[in-house]
Amino acid sequence: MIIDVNHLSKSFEYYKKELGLKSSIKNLFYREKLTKEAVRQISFQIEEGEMVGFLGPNGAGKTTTLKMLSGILHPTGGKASVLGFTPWERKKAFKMQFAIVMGQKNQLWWDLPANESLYLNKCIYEVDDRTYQSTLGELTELLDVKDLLNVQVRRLSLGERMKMELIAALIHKPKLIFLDEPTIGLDILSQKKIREFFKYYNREKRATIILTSHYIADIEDLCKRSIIINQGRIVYDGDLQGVNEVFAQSKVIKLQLSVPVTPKVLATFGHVREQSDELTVTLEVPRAELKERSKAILDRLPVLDFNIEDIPVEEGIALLFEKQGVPDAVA
Amino acid sequence: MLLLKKYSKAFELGFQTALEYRLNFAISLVSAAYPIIIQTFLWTAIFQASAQQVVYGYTFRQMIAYTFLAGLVARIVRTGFEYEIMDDVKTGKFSRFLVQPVGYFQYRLCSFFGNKLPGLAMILGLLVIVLVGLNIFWGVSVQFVNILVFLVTMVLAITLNFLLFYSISAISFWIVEVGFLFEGIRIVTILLSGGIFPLEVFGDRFMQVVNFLPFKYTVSFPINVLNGKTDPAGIVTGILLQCLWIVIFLGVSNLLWRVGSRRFVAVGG
Repeated sequence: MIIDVNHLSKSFEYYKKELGLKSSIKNLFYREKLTKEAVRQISFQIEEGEMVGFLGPNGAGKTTTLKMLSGILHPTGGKASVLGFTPWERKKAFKMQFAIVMGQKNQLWWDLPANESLYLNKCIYEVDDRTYQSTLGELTELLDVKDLLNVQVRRLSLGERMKMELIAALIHKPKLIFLDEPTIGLDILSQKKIREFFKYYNREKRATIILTSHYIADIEDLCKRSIIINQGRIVYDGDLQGVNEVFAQSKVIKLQLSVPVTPKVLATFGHVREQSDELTVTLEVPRAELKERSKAILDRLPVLDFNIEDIPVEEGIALLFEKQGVPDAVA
Repeated sequence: MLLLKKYSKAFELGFQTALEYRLNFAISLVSAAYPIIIQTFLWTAIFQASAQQVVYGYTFRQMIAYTFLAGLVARIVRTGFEYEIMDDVKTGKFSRFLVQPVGYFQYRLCSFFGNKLPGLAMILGLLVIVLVGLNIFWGVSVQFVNILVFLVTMVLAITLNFLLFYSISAISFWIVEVGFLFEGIRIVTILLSGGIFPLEVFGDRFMQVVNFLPFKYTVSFPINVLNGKTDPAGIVTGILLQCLWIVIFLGVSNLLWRVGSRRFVAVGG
């Protein structure tokens, strides 16, 4: 077992601030202290070589959990063992064996070519020259960024930069990889490329990968097992199949119309979820009938713009509870 | 060997970044000349209006020489990483140093010295020109021994100022936006260190206090070693005080950073 988490909790103190200037001034003198329980008593185990997805809405506690498991944060309560270490003791032997990539934080030197930062990481992780060269060659090949190594990081695109971040994180061949929203802000193509890379990496290197995301596609594509977190609690842990049934049952179609259409007519194409004004409509259709319904909509409605999306994670979770009969109070 | 390598690489990257922005540095040198020129006018006026040849224990030429040297030395010891540290803490980038097997202090120190090196070389070159110029035009001569001792005190001064500002930058852990505070502290320290004009200007009582503060040992003291105003006994005491302050600030920065990063860990990045 590579990760063993027992009743891990983390709460933060923060200050309440109401809207407006008056309360800003009031805040200068007196601030009401509040406690937010970001993670509440979570427990789970992860085996070596597993690829597990943490799914949940923003602020659910995914990142906080990862930060505790990587030793960045001290928990308020509970225990965790990662690779046989207690992460927040931050032993060097522990640090040498894992990596964390945060989609929103970069570690590359902005003004220098990426290979300088990569070399710095080689030195930091005490990788010898030959291993470094072969790892670097392999990773740049896989991610298709060989030609970009000598370009200053500030000149790279977001997707290219993310790939360099990944290489920087993997240069010491970590056994365990934490990925926090690795595909955030990337276009669909880059997202896909990066997902394929992780799939390969997990299969070939037997590396354990823990991934957080609020895109279902990320998890769906990569992880057999998913842990769904909501409001700091684990609400589902297991095969993605069960979740998939709920999430994948229907799709959401967003329409921009050129001429107003009555709700009654719209209802014949699918369940009207939202109609913010006469010309902007959101429809929900069963996944199985997506193709026919889309075709019908495009043929018969005055469509300007057409978008197919997944059900938002928050709703999917709510649906999950409905299905399992878990009381709403927990969610 | 591999252990040393990670810090020498940090040094090298700091060096490269400085070269990447060499034009910026050249411009900063020009801007450094500006206050020096203003002060030259100021002192000229003061000496002309004064009935005495010697003001605050300096002749006109000594005063101008001090002004030039202070401008250069203050620039050599000057830090700038406190803003980077603030940014690291504010944006949570600091957490990277918690998960990687690398010491933040050593990393900062090495990249700081690397970043300083090109500028340092340039300023030392300028210093030589200034010294030679002073010698040729005004006959202000500098002993060779003084230059050697000056270099020793400079290394200590740079180290001391690094530690001073490394300690100060720990404030980032408690206050999120500290840019202006850093600027304020910098202005006060530059004044107290004699980076603008000689500390004698402030009067005897003030001098007695300043002698016991660390600031003087970052700018004023090395200059007074170079221009021969400090006698051998004073030099020995000065160097000892530099070392003492370095030890003190090593302790202070260590403590502040330990408490601060514990706080960072508690509050989250």
